[in-house]
Amino acid sequence: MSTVALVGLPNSGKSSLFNYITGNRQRVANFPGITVEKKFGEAFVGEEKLSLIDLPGVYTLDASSLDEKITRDYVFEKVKDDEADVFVLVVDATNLKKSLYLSFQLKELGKKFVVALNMIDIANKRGQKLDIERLSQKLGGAPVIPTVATEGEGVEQLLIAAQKMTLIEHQKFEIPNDYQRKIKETEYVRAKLAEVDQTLDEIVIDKIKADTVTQQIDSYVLHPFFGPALLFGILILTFQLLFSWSDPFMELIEMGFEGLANIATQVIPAGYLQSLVVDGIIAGVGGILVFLPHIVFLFMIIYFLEDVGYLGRAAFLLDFIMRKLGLPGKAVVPLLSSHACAIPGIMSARIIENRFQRMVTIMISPLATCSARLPVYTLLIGVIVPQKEVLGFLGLPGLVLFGLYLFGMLSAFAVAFIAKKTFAPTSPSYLMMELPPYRIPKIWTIVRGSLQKGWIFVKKAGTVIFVLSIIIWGLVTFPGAPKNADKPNIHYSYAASIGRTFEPIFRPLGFDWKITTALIPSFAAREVLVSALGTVYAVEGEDTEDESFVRDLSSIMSNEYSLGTLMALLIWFVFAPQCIATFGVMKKETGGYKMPIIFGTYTLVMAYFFSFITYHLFS
Amino acid sequence: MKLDSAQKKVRYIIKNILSVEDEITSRFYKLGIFPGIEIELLRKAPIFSDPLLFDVEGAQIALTKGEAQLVEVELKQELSCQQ
Repeated sequence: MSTVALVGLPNSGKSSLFNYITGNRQRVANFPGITVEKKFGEAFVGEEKLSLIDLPGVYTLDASSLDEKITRDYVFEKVKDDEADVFVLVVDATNLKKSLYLSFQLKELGKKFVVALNMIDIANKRGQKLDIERLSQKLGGAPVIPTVATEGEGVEQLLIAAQKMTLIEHQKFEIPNDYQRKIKETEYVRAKLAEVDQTLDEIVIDKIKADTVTQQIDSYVLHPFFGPALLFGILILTFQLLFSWSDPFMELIEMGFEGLANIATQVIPAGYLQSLVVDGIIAGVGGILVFLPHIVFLFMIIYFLEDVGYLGRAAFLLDFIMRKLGLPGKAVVPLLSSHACAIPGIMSARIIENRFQRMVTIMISPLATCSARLPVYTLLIGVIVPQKEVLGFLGLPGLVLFGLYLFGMLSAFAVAFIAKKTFAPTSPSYLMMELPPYRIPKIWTIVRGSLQKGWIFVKKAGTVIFVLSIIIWGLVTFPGAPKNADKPNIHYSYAASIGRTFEPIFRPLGFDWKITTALIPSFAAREVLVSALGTVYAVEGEDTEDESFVRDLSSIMSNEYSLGTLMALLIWFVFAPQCIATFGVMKKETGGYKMPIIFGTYTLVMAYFFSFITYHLFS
Repeated sequence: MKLDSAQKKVRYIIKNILSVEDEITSRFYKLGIFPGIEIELLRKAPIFSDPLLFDVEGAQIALTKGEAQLVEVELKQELSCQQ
């Protein structure tokens, strides 16, 4: 079976072409050792089956971003498996100048390729006329097929041409050793651009007219007043939709797993096996799947904004502010989304091209106040803060809650600023980018892409999260209470031993062993702290949202602990514990354990530091 | 003059890229910004007028002020005046 690889510029319609050809016959996998996905698919030309690979979009072969390196290494045949027999170069017909650069590089490397002259309909509408035969000659005889990938126009001819190319014997071409260095030199670039220019002179019969629609839309979208107002509106709406769309699905998932747990409780006799299945496995899997709605919906929104062409504009509008923190304008997407949940937030950091900036964004996003902190904050604020009005209309508890949101975000900014000052980035960052023309989004591509994201999360981060949840279950369950024990099981668990062992370290923060013990299961998910405290104090009632449960626990807390301790615990939760899902997804997105370990350490240090100060301020 | 002091609705010709680093120069080149090309300021960002948005042969290119300072330009002589 022959292999066909799709290459092309970002936004050239490469994904649409891939989706059109492969339909539902596609699979997603990670590139070896790295975290960028590659997509596989199949196509048929008559009887013959072709295997298709979709490579990340690139402008040229001198790679600077992670995605670009993958495509470069693939074209340079550094990746040994599934080498391409033929390349399909997807070219944006409305932006030939940029696309031709890459096509000349493929020609120079002696690759067999077919050109898909995509979006030909728009180019025609804007009055462009080309000598396609001449273009083919210029590219060493590579067939040039005009296509409209979204409609499937020209796709069949393209595949036939690609299949014919596979029959031609491949002239093995050795890539010069210094090629990778050479193509970065100004002289090389200048010569290539001259070649492109000369080709354009020869093939363009009628020039393309300016995209006046885009410029008109931009006069509103980038307007000094309406621009920021629209941006603000879109960000707020994104945040709102993320909550309101995800909520019913999350409830459904939770209900489903509760039902499953009930069945398991009835079927399996009480004991360790039941506990393992119900509290370990079912709760663990449920804890992973509950993130899916957030991930899928956030990526739907992001892909939509990207497809329309808005994401670049948002980066343009926010660049100045974010640059002060050493971050690109686009970083606002992961930072904002992390207020719903850090998992999709961290995953969305991929829209940031610069590696250093992406890492910093991933490391600070979880400091945003996610929705899982709310039950903890609500409980503690309920205990600490009296129901008072400030300035006659603002409730004091609400103000404190707002203060915690603000404190989280300011801490994130502070960390970003320190990171910028401390670690000189290895590669300088640029804004320097093209704002693409506005386009009508392709809904199917958006939906499919975001569902794939969700599936990849389950597959790649799910295992880590699952294993960690089982470990935590083990810590809380074993070795189990002795006979005629008069206290709840957790008092005799390994978690309690750990809690007691570490108590001296946490005493300066005012935490006793009961709190440190309850902190252990809250690694699984922060909101578990509430039920864990309930377990430790053997509060009656299972439902943590039950009013009497919260009331009983609150009164115990306020009797047991001083204001200083409770305030310190509140501040502790701004930074730590970060849930295991955060670590799992961070490991996946940064490609190793280094970043999660650094992250875990710095958040613990900050949590300790600020809790210490708080405890002493309020004692 | 440098591109960061360009005015709207005036067309300029790029003279030179004032960077010694190949990587930066080639980044400019790949966005279509190199000597001989016409460029026009379309708009400035609402906050502190930074970054800037330019028209480069029909493509909209965003540059920070710092980046624009690396581009040397001159006013385009209107052909109608010469003929």
